[in-house]
Amino acid sequence: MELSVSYQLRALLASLQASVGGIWPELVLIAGFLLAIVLEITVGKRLRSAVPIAAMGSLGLYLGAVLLFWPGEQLSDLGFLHMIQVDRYAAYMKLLIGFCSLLAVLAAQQSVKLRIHSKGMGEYYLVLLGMTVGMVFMTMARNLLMMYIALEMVSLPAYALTAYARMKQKGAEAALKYVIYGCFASGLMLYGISWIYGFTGTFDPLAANFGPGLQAAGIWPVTMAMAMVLGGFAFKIGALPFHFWMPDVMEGAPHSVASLFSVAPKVAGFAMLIRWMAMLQQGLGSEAAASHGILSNIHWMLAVMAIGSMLLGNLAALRQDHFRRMLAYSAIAQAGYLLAGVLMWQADGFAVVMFYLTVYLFMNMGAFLLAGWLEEAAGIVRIKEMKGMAGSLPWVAGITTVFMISLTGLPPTAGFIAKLRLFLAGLAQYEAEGNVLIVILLVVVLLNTVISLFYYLRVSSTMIFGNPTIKSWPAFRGLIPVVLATMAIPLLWFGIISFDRLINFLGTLAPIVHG
Amino acid sequence: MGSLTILLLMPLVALLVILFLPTGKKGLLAQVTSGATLLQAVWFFVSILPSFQNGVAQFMDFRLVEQIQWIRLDLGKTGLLNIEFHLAMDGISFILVMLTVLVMPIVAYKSFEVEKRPKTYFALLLLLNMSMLGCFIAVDFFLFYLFYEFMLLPMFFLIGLWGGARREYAAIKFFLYTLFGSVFVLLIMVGLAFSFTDPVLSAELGRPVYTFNMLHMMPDMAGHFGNMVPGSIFSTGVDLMGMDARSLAFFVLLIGFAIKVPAVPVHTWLPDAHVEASTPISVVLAAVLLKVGGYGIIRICYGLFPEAGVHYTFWVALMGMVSILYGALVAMSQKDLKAMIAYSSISHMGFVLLGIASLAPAGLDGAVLQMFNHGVVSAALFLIAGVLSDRTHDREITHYTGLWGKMPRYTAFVLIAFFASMGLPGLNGFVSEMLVFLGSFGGFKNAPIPAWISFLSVLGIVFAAVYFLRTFRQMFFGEFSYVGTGDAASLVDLKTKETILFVPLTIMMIVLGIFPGLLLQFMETAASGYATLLSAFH
Repeated sequence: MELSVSYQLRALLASLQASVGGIWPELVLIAGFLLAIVLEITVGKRLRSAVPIAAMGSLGLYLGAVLLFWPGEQLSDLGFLHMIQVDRYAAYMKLLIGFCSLLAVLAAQQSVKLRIHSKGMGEYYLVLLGMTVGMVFMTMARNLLMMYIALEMVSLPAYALTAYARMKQKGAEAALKYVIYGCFASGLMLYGISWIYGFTGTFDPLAANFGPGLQAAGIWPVTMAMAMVLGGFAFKIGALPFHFWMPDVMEGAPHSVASLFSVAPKVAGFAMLIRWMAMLQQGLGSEAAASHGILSNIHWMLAVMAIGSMLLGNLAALRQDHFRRMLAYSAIAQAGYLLAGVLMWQADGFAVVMFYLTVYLFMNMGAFLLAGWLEEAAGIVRIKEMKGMAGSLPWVAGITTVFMISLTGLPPTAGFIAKLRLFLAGLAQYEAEGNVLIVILLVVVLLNTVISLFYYLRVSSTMIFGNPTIKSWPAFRGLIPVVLATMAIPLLWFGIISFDRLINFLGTLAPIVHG
Repeated sequence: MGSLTILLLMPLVALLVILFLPTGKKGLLAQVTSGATLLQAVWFFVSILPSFQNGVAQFMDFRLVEQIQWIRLDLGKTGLLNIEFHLAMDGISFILVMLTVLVMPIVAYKSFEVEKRPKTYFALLLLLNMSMLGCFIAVDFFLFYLFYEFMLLPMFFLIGLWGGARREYAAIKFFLYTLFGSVFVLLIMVGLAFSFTDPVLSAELGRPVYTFNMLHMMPDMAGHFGNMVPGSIFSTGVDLMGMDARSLAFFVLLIGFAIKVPAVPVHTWLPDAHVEASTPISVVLAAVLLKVGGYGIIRICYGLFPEAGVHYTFWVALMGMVSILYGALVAMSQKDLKAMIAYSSISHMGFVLLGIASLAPAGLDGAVLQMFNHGVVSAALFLIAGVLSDRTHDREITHYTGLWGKMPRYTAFVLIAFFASMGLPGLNGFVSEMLVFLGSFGGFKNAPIPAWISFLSVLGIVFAAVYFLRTFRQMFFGEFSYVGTGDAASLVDLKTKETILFVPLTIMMIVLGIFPGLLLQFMETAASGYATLLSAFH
C-alpha cells in the first residue's frame, strides 16, 4: 500500500515535471513578475523606471516566447493532470492578452496622474503582471477547477488595480462595486461548478462519466448549474446580467486600467468560454435527448445574453456624455456581438470570435488610449468638451473617426470585416442547423449597428462640427501619435487591403478538444 | 490597369495631392479638385466612350471588364468564398457614370466659394466622387457594398460641416436612415454569396467556391439559375421565418434602395438633408447619390430576384405612384424654394420606380433615362435655389416678385429648367416620362400593373405644372419687390462664373429633349434587356 502511494506520487511528480515544458512562456512571465518584486523592494524608490522597464521587458519576452514555443498542429499533451491544454488557439489568445498588457504598462508609464501617486507606481506594474498571468492561464484552462482558479487569479489583481485611484471618490466607488459584483459572480460560478461536480463526480468535461452524469441529472437541474457557471463568464466578459461593474470601473479606474479591462479580460473570458463550450459539446455527446436539451438551453441562454447585452449596451450608451462611460457601455454591446459569434459553433464560431477580438483589441484599446491621452493632456473627459477639436488637431479627429467607424462596423474598416465574418458564420450555421434563432440574432446585430452609429459618430462629429470652446489644445506629439497610429493602421489594413490571410489563418486554430 | 480603375484612381490621386497642399491655399485646392473632375470627364469621353461607340449590342454586354482575384476566405467545411475586384460597365452603368462625370466638374466649380476648412471639404468631395463611381461599375456585390456604404461617410460630413443652421441634425438623420437601409443589404448579400457558386473556380479547386459576383447570381434568359446551390438560404422555394426567402430578400433590398431613391414613405431624410446642405452638396445629392438607389433596384432587386420582382411588381409601382403624387402635393405647399425642389425630386424619382415596375422595355428605358434627366435637371434646379441663397440668404418663394426685370439671364435658365422638370415636350424630362408611361400603360390589359396606377401617376405631371408655374409666376412676373430680411440690392443678374454652371446643363436639357437617341443608343438594349429577362417569369 505504502509502496503504491509513493509510486503514484512519483508518477505524479514526473507528469508535473513533463508538463512544465508546455508553459515555458508563462514561466518567463512569472520570472519577470518575481524580478519586478525584487526590483521594487531594492531599487524601486530610487530608480522609478526600473519596475516598468522590467514589466515591459518581461511582457515583450513573453510575447517572444509564445511565438518561439508556438504549439504544433498535432495533439499536445494535457498539462498538469489535465488541468490545462496548450494549443495554438491558446497561444494566439495569449498574444492578444500580452499585447494588451504591454500597451497598458506603456499607457500607465505615460500617465502623469498615476506617477504622482503617493505609494509610487511599482505595485501597479506588479499587480498588472500578476493579472496577466491569470489571464493567460484562462486561455488554457480546460478543467472547471482550473477555470475557476484562473478566473480568480484575474479578479483579485483586477480589484486592486481598480482601487489604485481610490483617493478619488469615483475610484473608490468603482472598486467597491467591482469587488461586490465580482464576489457574487464568482461565488455563483463556484456554486454551479459544485452542482456539476455533484452530478458527475468530475471537473473534467471530457471525463468518461461527465456526459452520462449530466444526462442522468436531467435537463433543468443541469441548465441551472450551467446558468450559474455562465454567470462567472458573463462577469469577466462584461455581458448581461453581470455587466454592472463596467461603466463605473471604466469611469473611475485609472485610464490605463480601464483600457486594459475593456479588452484583455474579455479576450481571456471568451477564450475560456469557447473552449468550455467546445468541450461541453463533446463531453455531453449528441446522441442522448437530454444532452440535446441541455445544449439547446445553453444556446438560448447565450442568445438572450447576447441580445440583452447589445440592446442594453447600445441604448444606455446613447445617453452618455462621459467618453469613457460611453465606451464602457459600448464594450457591453460589443460583448453581445462576440457572444453571437460564440453561438455560431457549427461554423467556425471560434474563428469569428478570434478575428473579432483581434479587431476589437485595436479599435477599443485605441479608443481608450485616446480617451486617456485627452484626459492627461487636456483634461477632457466629456464628449461635449471635444467640440471643434478637428480645427487644431485634424489628425486626432481623423484617427478617432477610424476607431468610431470601426466600432460601429462600417467599411472601410476592420470592424466591418469582423461583422461580415460574423454574418458569414451565422448564415453558414443557419444553413447547417436551420435554427431561426440565428437569423433573429443577426437581425438584432444589424439593428444595433444602426443604433450604435448614433453615439459612436457623435464623438467624431462633435470633434469635427461645431466651434471650439477651448482656446489652446495640447500638442499631438511624442509617443501618443505613434501608439494611436499603430492601433488605427491595422484597422484600415484589415478593413480594405487584405483580411483573408488572417481570417484563413485563424480558421486553422480551432481549440483542441480531447481527453 | 484598365480604364475603369484609372477612372476610380483619378479622384484618389487628387485627394493625395490635396492632403499635401497647404491648408491656406483655398484657390489651389479648388483648382486641383476641379481639374481632377474635368480630367475624369475627359477620360470618360476619350477612353471609355469609344468602347461603346456602336451602342451596346446585347443585354448584359459588359465591357471594359477588369477582374482581379482579391480575397479568398476559407470557411472550413462550408467551402471557399471568393471576392473579386471586378469592374465592368454595361449600358446602364455607362449612362450613370456619364452623369456623374458631367455633374462633378460643375459641383467642383461651384465649390470655389467654400470658405470654411477647404482642405477637408475637397478631400471629402473627392472621396464621395470615387465611391459613387465605384457603385456604378462594381460587378462584385461585396465591392459594390463597400462603395455603397462608404459613400455615407463623406456625405455625412459634407452635409454636417458646410450646411445650414440645422445641418448636424440633417446629417445624422441622413446617415441613420440610409444606414438602416444598407445594413440589411449586408445580410442579403452574405446570404446570396452562400447561395451561388462560381462554376469555373469550383471545378478548378474541387470544392464549392461561393461567390459575390452578381453575374453568377442572375438567371439565364430562360429564367434558370445555373449556379444556385440547391437548398441554400436564397435558393428557389426555401422558407425563411414563414416567408419565401427570396421574396423576403427582395423586399429587404427594395426598402434599402428605396430609402436611397428616396420613395415615400422612407423619404423623410431627403427634405432635411437638402434644405440644410450647401448648394454644391445638394447638387451631388440630388443629381448622383439618389441614382444609386434606382440603379440598385434595377441591377440588384430586379436583376437578382426577377421572379420576386415580377410577382411583387404591383407594390413597387404603387410605391412609385405614391411617391409621384405625395412628392408633388407636398411640393405644392412648400414655402422654401429648395424644399419645393427637394419634394419635386421625390416626385420625379417616383417615375423611375414606376418605369421599372412596368417590366416593359419602354418603361425600363424610361426609368434609366429619367435618372439621367433628373440628374441634369435637379442639378440645375438646386443651383437655381443656390443663386438666391448666395444673394439674400433667403429662399422664401413669396418674398420675391418680378425678378424677371432684375435678373433676365437667371430667368431664362429658370424657365428652361422648370419646363424641363415639368416635362414639357422638346425638353429632356418629357422623353423619359413619356417612355415610362408607354411602359406602364403597356397593352393596357396585359400590363402587369393596373391601369389606375398609371392614370393617377399622370396627375403627378399636372401637379408639377401647378407648383412650377405658380412659383414662376410668383417670383418672376410683375413689379420687382423683395420683402425678406436679405439685401434687395444684392439681387443682380448672374455673373459669368454662375452662367458657366448653367450653360452645360441647359444645353443637355434641350439637346436631349430633341435628340434623346444620343443617350438611348447606349442603354436601350441594356435596360430593355431586363424586360426580356423578367418576361421569363411572367
